[in-house]
Amino acid sequence: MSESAIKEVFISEAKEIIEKLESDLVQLEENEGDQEIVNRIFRSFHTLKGSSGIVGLTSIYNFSHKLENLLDRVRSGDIAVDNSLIDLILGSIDWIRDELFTEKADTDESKSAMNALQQRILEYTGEEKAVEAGEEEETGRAKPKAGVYNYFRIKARFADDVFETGIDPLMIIEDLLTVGTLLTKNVDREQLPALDAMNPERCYLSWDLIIKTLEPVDKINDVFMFVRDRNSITIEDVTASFSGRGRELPQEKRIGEILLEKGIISEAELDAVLKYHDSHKTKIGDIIVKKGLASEKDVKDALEEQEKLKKKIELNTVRVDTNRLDNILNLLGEIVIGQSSLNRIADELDDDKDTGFQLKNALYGLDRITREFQEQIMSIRMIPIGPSFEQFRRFVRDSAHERGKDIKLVIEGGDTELDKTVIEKISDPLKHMIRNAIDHGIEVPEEREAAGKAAAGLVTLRAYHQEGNVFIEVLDDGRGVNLAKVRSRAVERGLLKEDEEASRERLLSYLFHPGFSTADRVDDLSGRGVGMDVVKTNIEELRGTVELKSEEGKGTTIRIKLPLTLAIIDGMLVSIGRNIYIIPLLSIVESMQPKQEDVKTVEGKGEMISFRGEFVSLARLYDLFEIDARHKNPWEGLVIVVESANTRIGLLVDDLLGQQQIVIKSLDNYITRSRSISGAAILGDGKVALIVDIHGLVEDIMDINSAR
Amino acid sequence: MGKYIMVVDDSPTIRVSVEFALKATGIPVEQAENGAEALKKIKALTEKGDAIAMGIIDVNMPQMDGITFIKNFRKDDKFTPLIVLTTESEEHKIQEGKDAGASGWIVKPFQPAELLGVVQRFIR
Repeated sequence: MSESAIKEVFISEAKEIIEKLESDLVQLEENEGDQEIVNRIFRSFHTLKGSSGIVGLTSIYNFSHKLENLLDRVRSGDIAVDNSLIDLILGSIDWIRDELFTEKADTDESKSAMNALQQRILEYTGEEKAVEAGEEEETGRAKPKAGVYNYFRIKARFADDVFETGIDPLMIIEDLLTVGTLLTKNVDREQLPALDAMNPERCYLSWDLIIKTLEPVDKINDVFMFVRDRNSITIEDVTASFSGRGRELPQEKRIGEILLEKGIISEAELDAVLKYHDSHKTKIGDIIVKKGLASEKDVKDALEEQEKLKKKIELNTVRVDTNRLDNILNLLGEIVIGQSSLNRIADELDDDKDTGFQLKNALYGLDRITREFQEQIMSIRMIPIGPSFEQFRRFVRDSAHERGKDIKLVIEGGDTELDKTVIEKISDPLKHMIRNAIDHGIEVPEEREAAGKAAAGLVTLRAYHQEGNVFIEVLDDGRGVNLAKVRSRAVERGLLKEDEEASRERLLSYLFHPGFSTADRVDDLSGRGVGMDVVKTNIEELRGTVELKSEEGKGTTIRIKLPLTLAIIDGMLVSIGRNIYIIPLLSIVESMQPKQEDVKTVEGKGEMISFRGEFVSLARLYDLFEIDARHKNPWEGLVIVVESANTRIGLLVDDLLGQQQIVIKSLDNYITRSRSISGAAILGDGKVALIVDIHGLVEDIMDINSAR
Repeated sequence: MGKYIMVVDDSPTIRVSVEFALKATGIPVEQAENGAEALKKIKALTEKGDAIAMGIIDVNMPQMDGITFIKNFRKDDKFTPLIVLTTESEEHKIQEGKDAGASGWIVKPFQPAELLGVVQRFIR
């Protein structure tokens, strides 16, 4: 651990604190009276101050100290929360961020920005406070009053059980020597018993000292602060007591608060209950039930919630470098490979023989354990998506203000856990979709009211697990997609003929086309025509899919479906000639053997096959990968219909070999990059199989066909 | 039987700074993010036959604050020194810490040498 390493720790801590602060502030704006949030914000600045002080970032230390003071006044109710206060604090956070992470640090520009902010903070806290704060700021500690020596006489008679609080009187005397110089010293040994009667855990000595120092009497008091109560200490000419106000620590949620939040009881009712509780000392839950304010079930639910919160609070964690997890995961991958080769050997053994049967049984058990092991490791890589959602609060607030809209962000399912890498990669696409919702979805308040909606629009971020997949939804209750407009834009771009019929789904799918935008004007927020196609590409890189639903006048829902993990997938093994390829199970719609008459060549579109009433492009994989195949006619081989986003194509293969869990190995640069291949896997018999990247493949096929 | 210095603070920066400052003592430093975690870790250490030589505890922490930690710790252990980490705006906390059974305190931000000095006096 070096000092630069400490700084690194600080930088990552500061980043976390700033993110938390932003989310808390936007929440505070929505719930102005929420003391819990104010407490959290106060504590964030408090922590930031302490940490920045340690690493010697004086400017941030001083600045967060001022903010801490400001928040303390908000906490005590001196200063009310309003928009301009929140703007000020957000502005201050921006300054801290610039100072920490950008080139602006320590420039004249940043200094004048800081002065402006401090001036505004002063307007809240008042001159007097600021001067007082200014004094302690320079070094963060009280400075000795220069020039004049003080003399103090100290009589210290320690209680005989002083050692029982971990205090050694000698330590205190030594501490005193750091404050000043000792002039005289008398040790009173009268209480000292004979050696055989002496208890080594007892203190028998007293001191009488005179000390000369430049420090004020407070410093001497400080030294004895911990022993004054239980021991007899006198400091001559000095009577000082400790100042300080009682401060409430943030508390866990009370049951009454939970019921209040749920709207089951009212504030007045809660007050009455609390009064009764103070005078009767009965359990609050019991009082609420007895008074008929809530049913027993409500109270029980609230108690359970409280218990859950407590458990969350007690969570015990270890921080581990993700590289280590990746290493474990890779090793596990090797185990899975080793296991499948064992399985292959076992398959060749005769079942009737005892050993063959026993080996298979043992392998079956081992298989179960590895599967569970894998799930456990995967679950370590999983983190809740909540914080990632929270970071959008600020973004929504700022963008909405900019566009003159009133928008609330609702977050649901923040507990839903996703692979860390997925969460990192999904952040940008999410931002894009939220931006779209703000710009194109939600209307301005007047328009909303005219349409009979609430003035404030809602953007909802929702995450949930379903059938081994994670779903993430971005919903808005805005105007929805204007299909007529999409249609005319599609015709304009030549995607659709003037008189061509197009289903709702097909029209919506145009939104994912590169360069397609229905925005009336281009501005700095969105509407540049890059957007949903990039979102789609990013999601598909994570082996996920995007789906858009919209109802005019009511709103739009974008649903992202993602696999739980990235490193292991369910794959379908297919053979082409002597080669084995793996197709991700997630992308497969169906496999079929077409009739000869179902295969047609369409002008400008290449080979097509009829699949459930629609024509899909046919890709001859042997052709594409330039290898040999057993079957070159679609009606002899098998066609697997796969889907990427809203496009379906059929892949011609020789045969299906079965489905298997696949550990993905990434291909390094020594293999020519192909859009159609996403990686490789080692099979049980040691053979290597390439994994087909359906998204890339579909694009390749589309490119080839459109070039025809 | 190993001895550890336990540093309890919700700020990772403070924790690693303490660890850095105490390198000279040669005593390994165990970290905890809050009082509850610290109690658990101490329990685990004692079960292994190890012990803590002293504790350095932040006052203001989420989940279980320093004062509550000290009260709990003192139920089983009267002698191990516990130092409270405070900031100058929390002077009343020093008093609270003392009432709970703390042995000393140090004000943040501290210089490494300053902390080392205090610690060395407790664990000679």
